[in-house]
Amino acid sequence: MKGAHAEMTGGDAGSVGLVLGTAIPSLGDTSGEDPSDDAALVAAGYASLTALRGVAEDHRPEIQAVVERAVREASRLLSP
Amino acid sequence: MRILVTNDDGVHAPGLGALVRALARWAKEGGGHEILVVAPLANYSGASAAVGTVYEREAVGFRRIHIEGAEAIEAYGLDAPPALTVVVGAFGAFGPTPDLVVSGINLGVNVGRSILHSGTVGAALTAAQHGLRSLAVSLRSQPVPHQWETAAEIALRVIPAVAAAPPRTVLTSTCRRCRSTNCAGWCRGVSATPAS
Repeated sequence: MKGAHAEMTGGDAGSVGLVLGTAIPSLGDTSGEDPSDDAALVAAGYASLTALRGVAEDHRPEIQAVVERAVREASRLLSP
Repeated sequence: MRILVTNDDGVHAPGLGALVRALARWAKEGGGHEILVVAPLANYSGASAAVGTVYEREAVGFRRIHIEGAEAIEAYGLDAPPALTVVVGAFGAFGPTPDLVVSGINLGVNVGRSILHSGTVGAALTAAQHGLRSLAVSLRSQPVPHQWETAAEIALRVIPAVAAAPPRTVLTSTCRRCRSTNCAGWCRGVSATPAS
């Protein structure tokens, strides 16, 4: 997706218009696509193969520091 | 800081209400924080990061919602799964792009392999894909009554750390009841835990 805008249509109801982005022209806006990424390559007629890790714990040191800070803050709440 | 709140249990779920009420109080006390709720109109538990059939829809309907006890908070129920609520929020459909997405409070723990399937976590991961920081919050479904306030208070304590973290940081917090001077119930404490 490349955009979304909300509009009230009456009373408390409304509608969010979706601007779809895609590497495939028939599906939507192709501007801004990286010509080397998987979607663009498929659109250009290639097959793509990409290794995925799925949902995994974030072990980066800078994120562990965030976790430690969060634990400290939350632990204060739980201290008797 | 502008915070987008969503969930997968639906905009009328008690967990979201508790979280929004806590955030509203926090924002009022702290000043300078804006809270926006864009959550699914229906229950999308287990939807992971699904956005549904977006290529068959040119628009998604929404309704303005009033959260009991937090009537001043701008809130919308969207006819869409949790991930799509985050996508439209990230694109500024309901005002400026949020700095942080908080998803929950989910009824039921989001731990181990269930993380992959959780709509609560799916929304948080979608936020990261859009360059935002996010926090998924869940509460164990037993015992009852559910102590939403415990999970909400932990979220409030964790939010500043997430907000100060690098973009695309995603944290998930799960708890049960707690015992402290601030919370009724019980909890052994907070620990950083590896995903099982």
